[in-house]
Amino acid sequence: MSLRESIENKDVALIDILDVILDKGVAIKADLVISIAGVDLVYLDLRVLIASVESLVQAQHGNDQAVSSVNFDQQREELLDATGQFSKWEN
Amino acid sequence: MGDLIYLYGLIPTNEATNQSLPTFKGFDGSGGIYTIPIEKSTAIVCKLDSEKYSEERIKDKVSNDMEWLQEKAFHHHETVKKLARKFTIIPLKFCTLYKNQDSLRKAVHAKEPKIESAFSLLAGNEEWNVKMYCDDHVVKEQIKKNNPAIEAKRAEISQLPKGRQFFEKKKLDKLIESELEEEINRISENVHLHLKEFVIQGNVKRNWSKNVTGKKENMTWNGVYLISETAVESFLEQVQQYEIQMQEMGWKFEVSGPWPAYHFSSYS
Repeated sequence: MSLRESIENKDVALIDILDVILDKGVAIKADLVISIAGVDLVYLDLRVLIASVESLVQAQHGNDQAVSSVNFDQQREELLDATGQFSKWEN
Repeated sequence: MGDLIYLYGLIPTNEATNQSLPTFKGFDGSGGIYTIPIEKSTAIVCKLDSEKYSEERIKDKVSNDMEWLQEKAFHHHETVKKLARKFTIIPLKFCTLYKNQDSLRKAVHAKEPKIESAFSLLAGNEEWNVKMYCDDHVVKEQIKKNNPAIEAKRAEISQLPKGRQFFEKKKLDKLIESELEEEINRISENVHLHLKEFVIQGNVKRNWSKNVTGKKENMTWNGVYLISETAVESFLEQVQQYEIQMQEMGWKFEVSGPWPAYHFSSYS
């Protein structure tokens, strides 16, 4: 069998289909589990949009970062650098 | 009032007259699918009851009735896919509806030049999707081992007083993270640029996050490619080679297709 045939015969996940055929902005509001032919299981939570899946999820990541501990750490370090507290402790 | 027209896709009229349309059930499962020739393009459509399928009802169903969405999305996909095997087709998005034949005719007529150029781009070509995934931990270990800048920094840190080591190690971790991101992007992009040599057009879509893919690896690349039918096999062989070569370094590939050319035929 050619590569083409073997890929062509594979089941395609519903999420792939939705990502391609749905217009942007169509929302899936309920919690759901998608299962096609028992192969692909995709869990989507309340906040996920299909077709704008990517943009919404990315937007969330953007928000996450604004309040993440990584950011706080960074800010704290900047403050420490600025106030020169390091040198006090070291010597 | 009356029937709406559900548009699955547009095919060149000369192809429609040469071959008969396979028999398909319509969107509501009862009526059939038929063609409406509009100059050089032929619309493939079915009728839908306008009361049952008002815009609000469809929006409500899409948002709240997963079973319905699943069934209908598959119907749309399967229908367009089967048509794509026989005809050059401009696939339409899910639930593209017109009030009546007249409004469809007007819309198609207004886009005639765009439609024609889409037909000539799509004829004899297929759309394929390649997703790349990467196990961050494996790549991170490689970076830690092989990156001289990181090695040098690590040696520098070990010479520092204990209290300071803690903060410097944190900075180093941050450096590794950014190196990791760069490395992953660089590798993914190189693969994409190489794959583009086999194709007519290649576009990049956004990556999905883990809660969408359900995988432990991160999606690092989501590319769609329009490929000449004759070049598909060598394209796929190339992907397979990458898959074999890069497997041990934590990389995975997922290929799907052929898709109706949704990403290369903007009709709307």
